[in-house]
Amino acid sequence: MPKRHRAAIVATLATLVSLPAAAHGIAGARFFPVTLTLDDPAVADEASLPTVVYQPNKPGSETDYGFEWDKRLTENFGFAFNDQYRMVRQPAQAGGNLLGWDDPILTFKYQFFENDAHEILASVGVQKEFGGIGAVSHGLADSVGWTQPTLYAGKGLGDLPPGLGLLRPFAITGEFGYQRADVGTSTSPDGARTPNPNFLNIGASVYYDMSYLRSQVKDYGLPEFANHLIPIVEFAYSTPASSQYAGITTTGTVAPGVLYEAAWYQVGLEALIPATHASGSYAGFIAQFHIYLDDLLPGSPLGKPLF
Amino acid sequence: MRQLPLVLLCLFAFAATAEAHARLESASPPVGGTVQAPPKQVAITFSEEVEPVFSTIEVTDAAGKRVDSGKPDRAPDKPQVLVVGLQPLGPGIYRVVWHAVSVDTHRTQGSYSFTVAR
Repeated sequence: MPKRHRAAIVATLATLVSLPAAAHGIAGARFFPVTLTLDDPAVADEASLPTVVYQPNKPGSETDYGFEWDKRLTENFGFAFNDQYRMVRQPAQAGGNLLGWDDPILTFKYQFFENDAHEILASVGVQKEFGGIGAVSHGLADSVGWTQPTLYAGKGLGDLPPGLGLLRPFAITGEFGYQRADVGTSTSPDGARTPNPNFLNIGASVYYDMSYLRSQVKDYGLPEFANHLIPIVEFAYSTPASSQYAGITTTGTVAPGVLYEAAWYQVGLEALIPATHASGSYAGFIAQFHIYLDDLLPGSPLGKPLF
Repeated sequence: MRQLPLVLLCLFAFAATAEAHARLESASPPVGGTVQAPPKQVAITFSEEVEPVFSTIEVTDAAGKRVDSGKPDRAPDKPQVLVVGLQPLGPGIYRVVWHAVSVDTHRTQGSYSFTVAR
């Protein structure tokens, strides 16, 4: 696999890894579902097991199997831990197949704002990638980690006037983070110094909640399966924080798909469409099985705040 | 990774006892619907069993005046259904605002309108 193609895959997937999917929250009548390529604005007791990302890049491809665990410490403060196992397939002449763990990421998040009438949630958090723990020697993990303060927000459109009722099931969420490398410059064994770039990571989602349509706007008597669907499109971009990093440009994905939300779990499937030239030439997909631990184990420490 | 399907199978088996947030699955009169005859009650069917003591259903007319009878009750033999009686209603648009507490103490809320035809 040509080096530039592999770099594109890595850049695209790095965008997703730095914006982990996580919890759902509630503001008034609005349930904010779990989004797959960016984090949502809530803290909760949940788990993603697994999140599967498939990215082709002929003649090779990459498949990642990720997991995440979200835990509330208090009602509005919690943490998340996630990692992924990477499987890179490439011809022998390009280095052969590579298998190994990425670096783990720990996130602390505090939900500081909720407005039920206008269906708004907002949180702040800090993500920390622990560099040097994964398969660095295989190029599947970073030797240098990073820290990312992040702002999350979500807004449902349930407060639109009755005349716009069919638009009320829409909601939008967003995420903005500044990813700062823990070490500004790395020195290779031959003495060459390479800057570790900082990034602005930006994500947004727009979705239509069929359950909201049925319960808050109008019951059209649709099949029950349809009432659990959430058509969605997500946007995730990673762009260098300054122009000093030669050869590093904006990468990103547009991910249209659908979520299915049940009582204690959610299933999601979205296409991953490269959004920039540097993001690659082929579309992949992301799929996730997500568990709402507060619904599955409501009385246990796994399903409620610890304090 | 090979154990993942078994893990998920165990989860689904265990989840038979799971309880979740109570979401509105259907209502009578229906959400956003129009009825020809004035209803005598509002009944909401939730996805989970709800606690009537901690749940409310309030119905108001276009002027904002309460037209329900007060505290909802659980429908007989239907722990997922809450029912509240109504005063005699005339034609017009009515708003239902509900707050539900499921048996596992999760809170949900919502609102919708229905119309009594002229």
